[in-house]
Formats: sequence, structure tokens, C-alpha cells
Amino acid sequence: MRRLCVPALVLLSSCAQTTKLPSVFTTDWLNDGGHSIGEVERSLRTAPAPPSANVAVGVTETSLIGAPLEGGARWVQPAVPDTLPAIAGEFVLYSSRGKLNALDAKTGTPRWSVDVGAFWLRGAGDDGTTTVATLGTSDRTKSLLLTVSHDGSVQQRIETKLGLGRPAARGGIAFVPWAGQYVSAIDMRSGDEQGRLLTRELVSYAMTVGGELFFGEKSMLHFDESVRYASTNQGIRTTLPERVLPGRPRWLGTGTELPVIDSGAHAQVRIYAAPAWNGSQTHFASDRFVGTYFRTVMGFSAQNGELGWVRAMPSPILGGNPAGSGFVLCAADGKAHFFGEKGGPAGGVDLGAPLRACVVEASRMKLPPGSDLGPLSAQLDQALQDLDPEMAASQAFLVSELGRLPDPAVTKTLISLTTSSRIPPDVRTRARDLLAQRRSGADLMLAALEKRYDFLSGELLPPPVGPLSDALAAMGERRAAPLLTRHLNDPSTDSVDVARAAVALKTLAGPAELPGLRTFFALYRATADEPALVEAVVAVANAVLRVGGADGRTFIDRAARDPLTQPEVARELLALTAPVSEPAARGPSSR
Amino acid sequence: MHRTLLRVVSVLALVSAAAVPRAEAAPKAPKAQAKAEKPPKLELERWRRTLETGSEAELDTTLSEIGALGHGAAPAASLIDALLARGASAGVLVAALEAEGKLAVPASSDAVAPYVAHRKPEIRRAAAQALAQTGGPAAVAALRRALAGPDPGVRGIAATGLGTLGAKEAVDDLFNVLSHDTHEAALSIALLCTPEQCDRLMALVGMLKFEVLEGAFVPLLLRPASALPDANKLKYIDRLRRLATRPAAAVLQTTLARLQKDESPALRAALQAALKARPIVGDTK
Repeated sequence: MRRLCVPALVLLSSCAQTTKLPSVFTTDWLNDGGHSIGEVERSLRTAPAPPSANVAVGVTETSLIGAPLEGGARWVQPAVPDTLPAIAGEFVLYSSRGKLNALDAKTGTPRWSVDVGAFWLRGAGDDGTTTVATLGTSDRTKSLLLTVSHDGSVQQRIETKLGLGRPAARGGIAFVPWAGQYVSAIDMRSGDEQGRLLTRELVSYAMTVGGELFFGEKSMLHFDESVRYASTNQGIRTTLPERVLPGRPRWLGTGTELPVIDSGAHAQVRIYAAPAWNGSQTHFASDRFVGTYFRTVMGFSAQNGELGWVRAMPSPILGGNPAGSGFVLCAADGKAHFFGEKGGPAGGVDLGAPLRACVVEASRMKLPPGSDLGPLSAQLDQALQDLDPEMAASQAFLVSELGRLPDPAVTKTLISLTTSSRIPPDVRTRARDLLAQRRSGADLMLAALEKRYDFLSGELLPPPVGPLSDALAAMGERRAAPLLTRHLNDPSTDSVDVARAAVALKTLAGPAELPGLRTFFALYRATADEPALVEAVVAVANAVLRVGGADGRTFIDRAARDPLTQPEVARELLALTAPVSEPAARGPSSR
Repeated sequence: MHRTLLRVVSVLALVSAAAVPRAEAAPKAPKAQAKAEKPPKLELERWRRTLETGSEAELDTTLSEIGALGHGAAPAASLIDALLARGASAGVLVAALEAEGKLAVPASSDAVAPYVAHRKPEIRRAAAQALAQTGGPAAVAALRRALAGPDPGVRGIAATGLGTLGAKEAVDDLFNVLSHDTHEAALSIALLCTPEQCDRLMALVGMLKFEVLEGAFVPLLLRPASALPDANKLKYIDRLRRLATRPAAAVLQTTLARLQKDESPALRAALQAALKARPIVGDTK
């Protein structure tokens, strides 16, 4: 690798630093078939794993607050960072007012500070002796690669017009992603590019997780002996399963972007996951990933994307990090919550102030499982109760998840959702749809149908008669017939629900329901003024014909020929009665 | 003042229409009336044919004809019952229900009752009105159900109807709807209440708006002593006096004006004293 010195820039920098031309990131490099990166990997096999500090760092309006996750005093450092701080090894880095600053992650003690001019911190890594950081200008036109030894002396300062990604470091080598497909392995002391990884998957992150190195963005490639084959799409990588989540959160985003401090939706709707290495395979820590939607926290299987657990938190989640097992997520109210692998509450720390943003490093923590959250159906029920109506997107998602569970208890939750004034209308509609598709929990459905509008007792929301009718009819549940007949003749039942009840009674009604059916028919065969009621009258006529015997047939037949009968109803009735009585075309004659 | 007087006048009109429940009404002399009036001519067969096969206009005419005969056409009630059991257009149903009300045959309540729960408000209100006139256990049961229904108009008619029908078993339900903006319940409670229930009604003075209860006071104070002892009434008069408002004074004035000359001197004296803002002499504890 060529390296050129520029004397003018050398004079501007501190004693040990060497400024490079951007040749280190040259694009006329020829694919070496993984040879150079393979050599770097081989040379680093015995390098010690970089150190790390398990800490949560919150950003307030005026300061950084650090809270060691495994015990230790909270620290506060006055600072207004340009971008999100980065936790690199045992340091917390942030840029502010033209300087890149390093604090001791455990105590908040300032360790070093270097001039970076108009550059803002993008990301950082540390190998235990030297820190690497990438920075960018706010107009995205330039990047800066900086390596700084722990005594604060700048080793390398390389400016480029390329967008550099988030770096990592190990054994004196900085790994710097760029151009979406390369990771340059750069000697942090000399600035020489020791090797280059070419990958056919998008790469803008290099990260150290649990002492292991990974590269990628949408998928993660482990840094091991197979890395040399990455250019031919080999290597050991892992990818999160595709799932459309509320708010469409992304996992890592683009590593070449500056991590702006944003306490809005962008920060609160996110995915948290971390690659892990088990000695032969790359997988995800805890085999799970977490999706957040403001106050909603959902744990998913990293294998198939199935929802495993859910909790509604008191305050929106702003940041976090997967632990070796479990997750640490910090909320806008300043609380960092520990979640066991299965979502159980497993403790936490308090940063002591409301936050604008938060970053966490916990990859070497093994969190306890926490308390049992109970069956998923109960978790969903609880979360739906705890969420405000404005959380409609997550409510809709959780209701859909609820509908996928075979647990009969789900039926009860869906019923209560359809009659809850706290649930937004479209979510209630979704719950009704799912309820109609249930094929379990018949007793719960019958119990719901026992209720009816009652002004005196304050029962002002009728049960979801339509969906319950569909479900009970599909289950052939004849016990529903008297209840449905009662709702049929209740004016507080929505007319569309009346039609669905009538259709259910076509198959469920028995002779005992005949009086109620005849009453409904009499009340509406000439007064039905909307399509749903017409449908209901015709369905009830079907039921009467089925269970009413000869009297029932005469009753319907007479109505079919009565000129007072609503014309659409009459037409349908004539069609119904035609096969066994006089031809329909003969028309009305008498009542 | 003018508004208060208007209110009192309207209360009096209500009291005239429905003040005395059937149970407390003085016995009429139907035989004497029957002798005086010529029985109407009943064309049952023609009516039956028309009600079964006539056009909408013919049905309307026939139902008006039957209704105009009032209770005298009671034998025709079963024809209208049959029509209701078959169903008809909205206009015909309303006419049929009105006719049922005029015929006032308790046996028709079974045919009328389902229509209180019709989806068309004009039909269910006509049904509730009819039930208040047909009466009987089926009417009381249907009107009590209507008190729990979603239509405030029907709830009001049902509340009034239960008072008219002397449905004492419905007093608790009437108290329930009274606190839910069904003002008509106040008058019915006043007509039906036991002394303890009447005390409960008066305990609402000051808790509910005066207008909600206003319709109850005059009929309450004019209840026969056999149904409500004077001791209770004296307490109520004193309670109204202590309100010291013009509407309360108007109630007392109206009651005094309607009190029969030979009726309860103690009550008269209490009303007069109250109107002079003097405490009521007697046991008002």
C-alpha cells in the first residue's frame, strides 16, 4: 500500500499524527480473491478480544449521563454532543464544538480530547490500546478517519470524500467499511491498509460484539477464516427474517449516515439485534430480535420472525442494545430496563433524568431470565389494555398477532376489544374480523351473546353479534340460536350484524326459535329499507322454511305474494318458494 | 315568572292526561254509559277481508274507521293483532298500532309488544303509546323492557305509560331512568309510589334539577290520603317551602288551587302557611 505525506497538513496536526491522502481508500484496487483479508484474519487469530464496558449513556439537553449496568455510580458530564455518542471499548466518545472527546465509560472521567473541526462523530471502535473513529461533515461531503492512542495522541488522521461507515478495531487494526462493499483493514499506527474485504452484501458497519468481529448492514458476516471467501458470497453470515412491523422499523440503517440525536419516531421505532458467534455459526444473540414502537416492546424469534413476547412500557424506548442474553433498552423517562431473553423484567438502572437519546453497550452481559410473563395471549391482552388509543399501529399489529394464536382465551380478549371504547375504530374492525375467524372458545362467545344493550344497567355497547354469529355458525354451535334470535330483534344490534345473525340462524335455528324468527320477519318484511335488513329478512325466511313446517311455508308464501312486502324481499321470497309452490312469475295475488 | 307559570300549566295538562293511575282511579259507571250510548256497528267480516287483502290505502282507511269507534270496536282487535303478526308497511303499522291503542284491549298487548323494539323510531314509539292504552301484564313487561332500550323517546313514553297503567312493580326502574334524563319518570313515580318510595323521590330534591322533578310534585301532593298519608305530604310541602324559589312556590300555589274544598284542612293550612314562607306546623321530621 502506498502512503504519501503532506507536509502542510502535518504541521497542522499534533506531533505523532500522520495525515494521509485518501489513497488508502482507492477504488482502483483489484480484487485479490480474499487473500489480503485472509492474511489479516490469520494474523489476528491470537489477538486479545477488545475490552468493553457495559454501560448506558443518556443524552439530556445539557449533559451526558452514564450508568454502569453491573453496578457503580451514575456519572454526569456537561456536554451537548453533535451526534449520538459511541461506546468504544472502555470509552464513551462524543463530538462537540470541534472536538472529539473520550470519557471513561465507567466513571465519566475525561480521558482525551482532539480537534476535529467541522467533523461530527459517526462511529468508533477500540482494541484496548487505540481508538478508531469515523466522522463526517454535516453536509455529508467529507469523512474523517481518526486513530487515537489511549494517551490522547493522534496516530492517523485521514480525510476522504468517501462516506466511511462505522469502524471497529482489533489487535492494532482498524476495520473501516466504505463504498457499501469494502472493509479496509488499516494499521492504526502506520495508516497502511493491510488488507481489504470485498463483500457482495451491503456493508457499512464493522462491529465488535462479545469480543467477535462482524461486518455488514442488513446481514452480518463473521470475521473468521472463511471471510476470505466473502467476495464469492461465501463466509458465515446471518440475516434477520423479514417481518413487517408497526412503523416499519429498520435494524441498523445506513452506517455512513451521521447518527443524529432524534427523540422522535426514528429513534422510538427501531429493531435491536446483535450477531453472535457460537464457534461455528453466526446467529443472533438470544436467538431473538426486539422491535419497538414507542412504548411497545416486542421480542421476535430470529429464526422465523414469530412474536415471542410483548410488553407495553411506561415510557417510549429511545435506545438500547442486545446483551449476551436478553436486552437492555432505555426509555425517554431515563430508565434503562433489563429484559430477559423471554421478555421478563430482569432489573434495570436509572439514569435519573428524562432523555433525548440513549446508547447502550451490553454485549458481554448475561441477563437473568426475569419473571415469567405468562402465555403470549395474556401478554397481548395486557399490552393492548396498557396502550393508548394513539398507539393504533402497534395495537393493530398486536391484534393481528392475537388472531394467530389458537388459545381459546384469545377469543375473550378479542371480544373485549370489539366493545372497548379505548380501541381505535380500525383496530376494533380488525378484532371483529379475527373474531369471526375463531374456531375455539364457543363458551366465551355464548357468554358474550348473553349480554345486550341495557340502558338501565349502563351496558351501552352491544356485543359483536356479527362476528360471533359467523364463528358460531362455522362451529355449528346450536346453543347460539336462542341468543342470536334475541339479538335479531334488538334494535341496538347493528343492521349488518343482524344480517350476519340471520345468516347464522339459517343453519343454527331450531323449532324453538320459530316465534322469534316469525316476529323478525313480520317486523321487517315490508319495512326493510337497507340491504343488510333485506338480506336478514331473506335469511330468516330460509330459516322459517326449514324449521317452520307447513305453517311456516304458508307464512312465507303469503308474504311473498303480498304487495306490501318490500319489492327486493318479495323477489327473493318468490325465488325461495317457487320450487315447491306456484311459479314465481305468477306475481302477487293475495295476503 | 311567566316561564314558571307556563311550566305549571303544562304540568297540569300532564296531570289531567295521566294523573291518576288505573289502580287509583275512581270506578266508572260503564253500564250506565253503555245504556246511554248506542253500540257501534261492527263490520268484522268486511274489515277482516280488507285487512287481509286490501291495498295500503284501504288498510289505512279501515284502521282509521276501526280506531274511531274506540273501545266499542274491541272485537276487531284480533283482526289488527293478526295484521301485526303478519307485518306490513311502516305507515300501515303505525295506523294499526294507533288503532290498537284506541281499542285498548289488553289481549292485544302481545301483538303490539314486539313493535316497541322495531328499528324504525316512529313504529316503536307508536307501539309504546299503544301499550300504555292496551295495558295488561304483557304491556307492563314490554314497557319495562323499553325503559332499558336505546331510544330516549320510547323511554319517555314507556315511563309515562307505566304510570298510567299503575305498574307499581316498575317504580325501581323508573327511579333508575329518572336519573338518566328521562324526566317523564318523575310523574309516574309520583302516581305509583308507596310512602317510602315517595320519600325517596322527595329526597332527590336538590340532587336533581328542579325541572326534572317538577312534574311530580302536584300529583304527589294530590294523591289520596289512603295512598299517601298527609304526614308525608306535609314534609314535602315544607321541603318545597325551604327551596324558596318561584317554581317551588308555583307548585304549592297550583296544588292549593286544585285541592278540593272539603279535602284535608291540614294540607290546605300547610300550603297556605308555606306560601307565606312560614314553617309547616306538624310532624315534618
